[in-house]
Amino acid sequence: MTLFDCSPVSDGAAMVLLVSEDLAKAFSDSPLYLIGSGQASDGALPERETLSGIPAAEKAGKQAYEMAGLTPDDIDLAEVHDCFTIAEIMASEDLGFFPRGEGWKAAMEGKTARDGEHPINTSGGLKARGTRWVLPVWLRWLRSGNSFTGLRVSDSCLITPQSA
Amino acid sequence: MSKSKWSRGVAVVGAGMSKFGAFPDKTSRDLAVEAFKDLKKSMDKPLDPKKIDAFYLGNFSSDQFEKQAHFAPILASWLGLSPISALRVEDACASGAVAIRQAALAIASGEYDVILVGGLEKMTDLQIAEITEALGTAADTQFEIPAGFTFPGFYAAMATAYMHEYGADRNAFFDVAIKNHKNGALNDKAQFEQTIEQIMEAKKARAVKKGRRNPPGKPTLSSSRTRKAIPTSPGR
Repeated sequence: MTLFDCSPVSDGAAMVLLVSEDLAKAFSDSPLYLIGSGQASDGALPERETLSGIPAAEKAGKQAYEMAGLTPDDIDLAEVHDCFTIAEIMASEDLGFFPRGEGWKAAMEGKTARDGEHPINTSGGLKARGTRWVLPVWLRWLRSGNSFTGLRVSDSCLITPQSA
Repeated sequence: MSKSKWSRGVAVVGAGMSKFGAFPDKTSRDLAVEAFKDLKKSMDKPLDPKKIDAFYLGNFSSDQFEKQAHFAPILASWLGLSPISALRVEDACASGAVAIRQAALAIASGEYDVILVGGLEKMTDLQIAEITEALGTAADTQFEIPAGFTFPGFYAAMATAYMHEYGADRNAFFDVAIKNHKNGALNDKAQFEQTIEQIMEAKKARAVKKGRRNPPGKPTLSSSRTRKAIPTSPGR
């Protein structure tokens, strides 16, 4: 791995305000609803059954898809954990956007670019935006008129809001 | 097994973030205030802070990075929210996302109606070796760290396994970096609002200015396809 495979260390903060569904309209005319969430955690590297994927991300993704009643092909935008470039490629497979072993080809073919079939990390990801907390970035984009289903994952947790 | 339905739904009604980067002249409290102000600005109805029931802070290690533990109540007080319930959620790099999920579950349970969720890290005040050591505490410090692993080492091991298993071209990794920097260049809150090409050109210019004999050459950005024009973010 080289310098450009690594995300930087950063200073930064982000915040979101969550409210119960029944109160949403009292706080905003255009609330976003969380429609799916999941979480799983892997142990130490030697304990994992594979090194070429993140089992926890796959499990968390399945939970969130099931809760939302969606499939990977329904997702219009994903923000995934790209602390190192390989992490984004593995996540693109763990979350079912591409078959196992195909994520690297998809990256080379531009399928994860902003105009690709599965846009990933349009905020710049940890790689360019800075370490941690992506959600608010694309919430801002949602607010500016786009309508899509989004999905966020960070190693072990995933949330899928959808524009109202 | 997780249940696929929550007992009541949860909505996001505001979101904000500070500029990301390395800020030696700012405290993490400054960054939290910046994010909170940005959140309030994002809302289409004015926020009455008295309606906030709890503050959940996703933070990996303020105690190591800033020698400040118990940071959630300190920040809640700084934001004028005390004495609401305030707690820190630590789950390594997933701390922020897990804090959102825990807050959502607390609302779904009926215990709280309104929760402010923050995510914050101030990592750049330490030296690189200290940062590496602090991040390393997210790994297994009994078995992995004594074996010589650091986080770049972990992911290099995964990258090696992935390339071995699937015959991946190493250039695919660089394509991810090129794409994310291209996207980051459109994000005014990003640490690097620059493409890799711009970063390399700036590096070269600095080297020339310092009178280095062999400045790095023009970068060749291998990309396996001719990309279409990138649309500008609708938010800008």
